[in-house]
Amino acid sequence: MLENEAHTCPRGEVAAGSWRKFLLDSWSIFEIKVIVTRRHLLWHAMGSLIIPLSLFYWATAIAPERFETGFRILVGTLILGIGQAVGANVGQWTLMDRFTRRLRLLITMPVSKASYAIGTLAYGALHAAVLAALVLLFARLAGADYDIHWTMPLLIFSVIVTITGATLVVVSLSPDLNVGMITNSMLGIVFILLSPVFYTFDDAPRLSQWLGYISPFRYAADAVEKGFNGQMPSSLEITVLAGSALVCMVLGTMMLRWKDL
Amino acid sequence: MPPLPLVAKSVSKQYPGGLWANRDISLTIGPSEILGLLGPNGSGKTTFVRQITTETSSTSGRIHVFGIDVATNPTQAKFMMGVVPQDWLALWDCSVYHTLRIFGKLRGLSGRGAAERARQLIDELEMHSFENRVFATVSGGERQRIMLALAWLAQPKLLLLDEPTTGLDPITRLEIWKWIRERKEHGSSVLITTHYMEEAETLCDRIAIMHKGTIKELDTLDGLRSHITGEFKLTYAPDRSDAESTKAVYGASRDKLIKQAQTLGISEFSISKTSLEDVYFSVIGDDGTRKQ
Repeated sequence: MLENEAHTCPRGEVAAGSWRKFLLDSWSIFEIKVIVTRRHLLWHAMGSLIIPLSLFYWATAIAPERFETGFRILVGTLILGIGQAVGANVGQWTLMDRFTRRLRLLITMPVSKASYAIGTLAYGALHAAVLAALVLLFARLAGADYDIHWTMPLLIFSVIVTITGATLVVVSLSPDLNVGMITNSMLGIVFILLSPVFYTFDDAPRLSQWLGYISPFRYAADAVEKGFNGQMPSSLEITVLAGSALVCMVLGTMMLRWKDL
Repeated sequence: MPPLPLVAKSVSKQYPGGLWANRDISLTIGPSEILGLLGPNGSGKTTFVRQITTETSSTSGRIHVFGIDVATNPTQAKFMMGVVPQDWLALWDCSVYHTLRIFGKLRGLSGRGAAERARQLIDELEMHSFENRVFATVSGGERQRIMLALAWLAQPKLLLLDEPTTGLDPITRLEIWKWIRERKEHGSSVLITTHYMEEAETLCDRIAIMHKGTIKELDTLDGLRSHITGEFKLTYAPDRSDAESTKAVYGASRDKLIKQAQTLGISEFSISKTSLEDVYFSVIGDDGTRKQ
């Protein structure tokens, strides 16, 4: 009798270690973040839009022919905006979770850190989706006549996953909240701006070209630009984006501090 | 033989830098037992609780919760326990209802089950008046009720309560004691850390006294009394002009203590049952702050 009680009562209705529990946990983590920020979601989106849209106007003003002949400025705005939206929101939340001890409460629950990472990714994706919709709407109003290829959401999702994973790595390595906040907000912007995203690889200065060889954002920009022209991305671009998303997310999840906080 | 709610064998924790938080902790908790952990600040009680909850890893030793090793199978082990941490770890901007509902799901309840359980706990712990308020805006006693509800969401058979009544008013404290007793009657086992002797005396079946990271004594209150101090205490003032300065002599029976008083030539004295506080200070020794 006692043995039965011990093994049935505390386990709840959803079996531990099951896919259902994993998905429910991921959803719950996402829900926690959305409930807390839902009242300010638009403010978060506006905050993420300020720098990319400023750069959009600045770049269009100094090189109007590029806006008229291609989508590279729009692509750069989109990639930088997503980078900011995901990096800032995921980074801030995770840093706050870690350094204000919210994560400790979650750690006492039967929740895996992979669920936490996936829930966090979903939260980042929500911000990125809102931002992407606003940027595209803004660009359309500014006169950009683009197509959206069916692969575009997948390409953008791979960028979101890459940034979420990289952010989790930065957060896990941060020694304290302040360092984490500064490092997280600066690293992403600098890395994306130095990568050839607002201009093509061929037009990029040498330093940017070197970075462009390894930066997944350059491949993302090339692929998204093709998507705006209604074309499929190349197999190299797909491979690099899928690979970077996988590596960053696995690394971010593995490095997530789930004890000794 | 069913597995015990908690078995800790030679558990130690050494932090980077060499500091030992605790060393060689071995204890068990039986079904429906309340075990109290007493000890000065820094004696390793909270670290031990955090080792059980897997918040911190053990340097050596093993902890099993209902037969499940917390180090090798932490998620399964956490299904078996509910935790009230020492400090309020909560979603400060989330309402009480949403917090309970979401954490219910994290504890393995279905979406509907978690919502029902949240409502049930709001009833049980009388949280109606603040169920829609966010954690940041409720009082200390209300926060502690939320923490207890979070620990009790899936009605676990092992509860770990780390100083659950510290800083609370006497009425709230009595309510929490009643709640803990009800959990025992429900069949749950409880590990409680506390600085309050009265709390340990009132609630605990057995008491462990920790000091400098090790368990110095572990027994029932009567067992501690009988083998550490003695059942009874004779108190007298050696200097009549200073009634504040008293001395105590312990003994196994009243008669023996009265005889001892006569031998020592003490005419004014009182005899009482030895308290847990007396036992505690005898164990902790010179590091205690009380002067007898």
